Amino acid sequence: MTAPGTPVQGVTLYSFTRAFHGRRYTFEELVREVARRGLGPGLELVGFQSIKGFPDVDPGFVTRFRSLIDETGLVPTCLSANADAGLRRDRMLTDDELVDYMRPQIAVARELGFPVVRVQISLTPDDMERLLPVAEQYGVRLGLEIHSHQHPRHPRIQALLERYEKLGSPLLGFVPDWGASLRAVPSTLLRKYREAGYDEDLLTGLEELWREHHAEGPPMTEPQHGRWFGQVVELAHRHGAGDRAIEMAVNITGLFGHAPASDWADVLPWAVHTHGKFYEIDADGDEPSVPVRELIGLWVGSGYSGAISSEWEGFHWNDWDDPFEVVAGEQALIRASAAASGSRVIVDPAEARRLVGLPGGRNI
Amino acid sequence: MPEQIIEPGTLAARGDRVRLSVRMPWYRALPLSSVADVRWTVDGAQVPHDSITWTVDGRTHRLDDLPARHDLWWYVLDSAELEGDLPALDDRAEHQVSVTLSLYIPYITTDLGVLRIEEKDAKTMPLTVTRKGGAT
Repeated sequence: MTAPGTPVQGVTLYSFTRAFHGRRYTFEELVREVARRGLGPGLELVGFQSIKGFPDVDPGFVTRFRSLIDETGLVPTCLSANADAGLRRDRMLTDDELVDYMRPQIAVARELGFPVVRVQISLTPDDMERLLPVAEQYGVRLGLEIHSHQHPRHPRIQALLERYEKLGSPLLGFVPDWGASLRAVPSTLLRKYREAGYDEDLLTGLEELWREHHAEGPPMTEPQHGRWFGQVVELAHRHGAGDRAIEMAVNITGLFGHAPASDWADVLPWAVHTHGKFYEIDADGDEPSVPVRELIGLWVGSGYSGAISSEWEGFHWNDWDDPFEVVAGEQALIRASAAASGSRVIVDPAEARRLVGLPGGRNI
Repeated sequence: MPEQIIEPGTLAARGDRVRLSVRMPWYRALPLSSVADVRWTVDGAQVPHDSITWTVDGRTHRLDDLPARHDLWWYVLDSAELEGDLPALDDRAEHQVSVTLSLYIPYITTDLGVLRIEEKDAKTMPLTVTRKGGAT
């Protein structure tokens, strides 16, 4: 029997996008605020969000970031990189170009002290195999994010899993994102649409479509997902919401995934980091749209002792809640869920550092 | 976050040109090749598409030149300054400004191609007028 895991508490600065974008906090102020409020010790960044010029990062930034980490006692967990296959307008990047595009982003993780790099679904099993020597060179683990509308049983994820098993390297893995396993459409999004004046029939229709898709199960093919997307677009047009149709379709079919929580069991042994995606915390301290308790039960039960970054994505529409408070709310729920599962969440920086590790490659 | 596109108080006219600062309705830096389209009206009148220029990091581009610039970036905290031919405006203190930005999201690709989003913002603000040749 696997010993219960002790996940490390943390947060991604992505949760505070609205405060950062609104220029209410600088990058340094955000990091200090995370530490001051005890929302770490784990700290995750999106490179292209937090660092101007990324992945071309000047040595001054590296020095300043490392001092900030020393000062705050936070523990770098994951640097989120982007696999921008659609960078060009004339064509998609070739596999060679995409692999080269990832290389400097992985190198920066090492310089900044991040042990894990989040990469994305545009990378194929062959691309991941070609990136393994890069991961080895810089001593970091690469985690391909399993993000709605993909999910653990999706053929592309299964193909990656098969390749990982063949290669057997601890440096290749996944970053599960809980957004692939919702149980309801977030009520805050419906509230926002209601306030924007959309009629109740449209809101009911969006929820009904989501539940129909939920009953079908997570999409196994792109045409299936495309059909769902088209259904939402058509519904929005029918209710005079054509100008928001794409946004509604992206939200309903792209963000709120349908995978049963138990589907994660196959890939959890390969999880190198986790995105604790969530949208809202209710008056009882629960997350009505993400089954956090059930997910934590699985994570702990599988022996997972990596970091879980609280990732609040409600900011896309929710401009009334305090992002720091909602993150604290999810973290309290995660801690209570771990305790209910017979384990605990790590909040001590030294223990956290020991569990998530540091980059440690050769020849640097 | 479409409501953050138009920066309040940045509508300015100088000679026959009009300017406005806009923010990105997305959370991470995007290549300039991601800027698919810009539609801009003042008091309901279209700022002519061909007349619009786009300035970030001190470099000015025509809209038609953006698709090829996957080597240059628009950072999330930076304003992009739009400039275009000033349409005939109503004579009033506050003007209605609208901007629609279409953006490609380069890491979200489907069978239908790269995801393209469209976000619209509209705000009311005064127009700051500077005489041509005067200080800005």
